[in-house]
Amino acid sequence: MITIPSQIGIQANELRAVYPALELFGKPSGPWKIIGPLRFTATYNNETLTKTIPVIISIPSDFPKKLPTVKEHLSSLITCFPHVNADDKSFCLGTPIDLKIRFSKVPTLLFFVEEFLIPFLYSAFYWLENGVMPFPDRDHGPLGLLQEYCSLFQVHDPKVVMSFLHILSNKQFVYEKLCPCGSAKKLNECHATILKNISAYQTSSEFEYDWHSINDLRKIISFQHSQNR
Amino acid sequence: MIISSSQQKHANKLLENISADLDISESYFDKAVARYQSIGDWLSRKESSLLDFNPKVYPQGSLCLGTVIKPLSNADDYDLDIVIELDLSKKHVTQKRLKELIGVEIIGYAKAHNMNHLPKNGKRCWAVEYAEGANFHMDILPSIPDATGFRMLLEAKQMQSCHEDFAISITDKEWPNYNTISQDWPQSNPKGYAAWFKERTELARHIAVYAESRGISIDEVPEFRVKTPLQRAVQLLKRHRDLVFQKNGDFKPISIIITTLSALAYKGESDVLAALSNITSQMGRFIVFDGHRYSIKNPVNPLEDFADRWSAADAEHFFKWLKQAQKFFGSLLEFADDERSRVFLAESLGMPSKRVAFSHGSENSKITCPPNRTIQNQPRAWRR
Repeated sequence: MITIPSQIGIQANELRAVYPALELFGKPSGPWKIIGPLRFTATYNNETLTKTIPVIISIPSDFPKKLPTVKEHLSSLITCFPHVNADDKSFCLGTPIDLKIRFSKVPTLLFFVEEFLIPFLYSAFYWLENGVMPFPDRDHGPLGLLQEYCSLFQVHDPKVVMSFLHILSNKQFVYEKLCPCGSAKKLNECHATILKNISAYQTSSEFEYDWHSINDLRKIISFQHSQNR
Repeated sequence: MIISSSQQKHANKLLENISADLDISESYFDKAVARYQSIGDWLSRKESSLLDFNPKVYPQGSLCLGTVIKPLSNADDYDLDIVIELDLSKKHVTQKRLKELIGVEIIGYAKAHNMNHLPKNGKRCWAVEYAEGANFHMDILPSIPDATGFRMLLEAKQMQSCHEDFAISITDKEWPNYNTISQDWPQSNPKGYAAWFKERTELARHIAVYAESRGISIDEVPEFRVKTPLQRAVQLLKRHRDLVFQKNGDFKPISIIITTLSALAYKGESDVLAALSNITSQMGRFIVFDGHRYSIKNPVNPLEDFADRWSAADAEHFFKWLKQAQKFFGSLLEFADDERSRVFLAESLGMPSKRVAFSHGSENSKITCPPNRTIQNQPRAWRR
């Protein structure tokens, strides 16, 4: 008889109470997956969509520290949607840092499905039918990441984002130094709180990885500029 | 009577819906599993006096067979039957001693878990009652493995069986040698019975089909998710029996009899309706009558007769019920197309009629209207 880790079992039951067609599967040692047709109704700007799509939600072994991943199961209704990753067909629900911050508030499968997955599927089906996104998305790759950090740090200058990411990669806050944002205030009196808050959601190496991704993007852009000149 | 294929489809759908409603909820199932695992953990803890005997704990009965049904009323208990097997030999221990050895730990468990009542020392089992809200009742069967003894016994009586490897010896307070070292113990084989039933119900094939249709591997399918036509038929027959014998409990045929006879009669029908029709017309043939008394042999232990306590009146009530069941499930075909009759039939099986009326005709009765989510402050989709 297969036994389910109680945390996942309870969360799966909570999810199935609302979406009964989703079922939990897994080997005793994990990993666990939720599989089934997700039937949802969602409204944005007075426009309501009701759709059904078979999905497979993979639950990582260190859930809820790490978020589940989702893809279509045995069908390809939304494969051509630009926010489906080309390689493994997984849904790109948002930038990792944004999802982690949101998920930390209510780390449950039901929240994941209702707050991340359903809005994503809504936008995918809306895009398929109308050719436009119902609500704003992020650009692909490092550019989208840069936009995300601009919004999180509440700044506009990519160079400032890089400086902040550098601080987060080292997790060393020199509070007495001037804040890189150019406010002429000390870090302590300026962005320190925002940085401290964000630093809790990723490891320093994850921030470093993001720094490198955005840095590569900057190199490409400056290369293109030099070619155009 | 000419039966159209749409009538058959409707009747099958109706039966599927009703029997799915008889399933215990997954949270109850999880609780049951957690309960017996917790006993297992207790027996295997460092301080356990049974640690040297390598205690094994496993469920037996309808939970294991996939034929468990909700109690008829909320006042009724959920039963969970479990087996505790210790690596001991009949040469070194008496039935009484085995019962006591396990009793010490079970009482310790009850005390450590602040149970209101101490476990009761029953005829064969230790009975544990859980006080908190959930009307749960656990019967614990002390046992030792005894495949060799069982084989010798069969040989001596020139009998044959299957799945003997799982045979166990159990204790019985009323057994003549209860308090003396003896080779003569009561026998049982719950694991063997489960293996036999799973063969009869072709569970492995159904799991493979289920896994394939969902694109997952066989070992990822929780057994309780898969319900074969035989399992569904047994559930429906048990519920029908509960209703028929509601006011006449003394003659109520025990579940193991219904399960065994159904499994013997089952011929691999691919839907519940066909399975029920065959089972209700054929199961009586597997009851042996020698001119004096009736017997229903345990398929994994020819020495055990499930009907050993049957009087003529018991048999009479059983056959009367069987006829009623045959008529009842047979009538589904005629009525399934008519809404009012469907509701009546569903209610006759103790299922809320609303659910049936709603679910009729929909491809998947479990898919109800999802709540309408208003999207606001959603994450912005991205891509690596």
